[in-house]
Amino acid sequence: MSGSSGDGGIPSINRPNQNENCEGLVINTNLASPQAEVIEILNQGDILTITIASDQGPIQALNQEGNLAGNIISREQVKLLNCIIAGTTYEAEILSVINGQCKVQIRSI
Amino acid sequence: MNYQLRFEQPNIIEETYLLESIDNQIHEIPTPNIDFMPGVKWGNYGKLFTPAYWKVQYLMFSDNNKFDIDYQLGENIYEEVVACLLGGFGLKSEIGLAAFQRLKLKNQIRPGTSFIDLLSSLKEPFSNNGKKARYRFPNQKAKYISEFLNRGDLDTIPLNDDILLRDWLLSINGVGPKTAAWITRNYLNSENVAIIDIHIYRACLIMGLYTKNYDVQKDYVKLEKIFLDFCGKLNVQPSKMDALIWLQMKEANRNVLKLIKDKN
Repeated sequence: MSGSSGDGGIPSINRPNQNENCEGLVINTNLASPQAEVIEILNQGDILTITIASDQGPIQALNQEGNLAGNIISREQVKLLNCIIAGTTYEAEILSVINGQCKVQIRSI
Repeated sequence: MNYQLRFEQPNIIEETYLLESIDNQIHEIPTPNIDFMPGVKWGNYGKLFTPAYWKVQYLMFSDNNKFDIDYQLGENIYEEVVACLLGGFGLKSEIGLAAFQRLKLKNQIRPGTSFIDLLSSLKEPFSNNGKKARYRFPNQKAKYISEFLNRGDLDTIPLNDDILLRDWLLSINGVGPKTAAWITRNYLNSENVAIIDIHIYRACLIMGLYTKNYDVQKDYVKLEKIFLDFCGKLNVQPSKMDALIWLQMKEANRNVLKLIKDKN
């Protein structure tokens, strides 16, 4: 059952991977709201810095000049934010840039 | 440093397809400053617990049927009522379920079961992870359950209409509006009721849908309606949104408390 704290059961939403540790959290995703002028000069293998605008997000990916490349949205958003607030540093490696979509791998440093 | 962890192959969470599959729907979400409901903005979908955030999370969890929710605890309405009566109010869920299983195995969840038999079953210690544990409030719960199982109108429970069922359940001693909604949702897969627990309450408080002046007990029907309207406006199933909010609010406890503090 769900939505019933202290009641008889636990909500069950399938989550593909539930890493318990922040260092082991690795997410492949596309950047949300990709900024065309920043994305178009990125190459496979480039590294973006992952930062947060506030404790509640959004989670942002910045290029080396500190310009916003796009945002991160994920099913693991709460966990990722909690990990960043707790001190784990993440980066995003560019896996591909195709037709304005930027695929990245987010992982801890 | 934990070398074991360092050299473990991490599990990669693959979500690229998710963004591709919901891209069009994300673009349909209004910009943050547009009113979602009177006095409430859509907010940034990348920022925790805004209406836009819940919509995007719902879309992501809906993809490929990631919601896997099996609500029903009992095989009939008597069992469902008893299971829910045995849970809640600070009781450990494991003990509540163990108590339910015990009454079921003893064939005590049937009309006519006596208070003494129920009390005797609930008073026996339970085993929880190898430790002995006792069920709290055995007298009170045995009283509620025996009263329910000895009612003269058990064959007229309205099982074909969720709202009628919820109203009928409210006539059971020990069943308040939240438990009545819980039983109804479980038993009939109802989307016309909502379980306003602390996590849903906090989520709605953060969004500005609720104010601190509301009392969950006294204003339950009003709070439920606001939550159902919220789901209707987002075009999502209340039962699934309830599960999603429950999980995420539980996981984000520290952030949640900060948001509530900031809100006031």
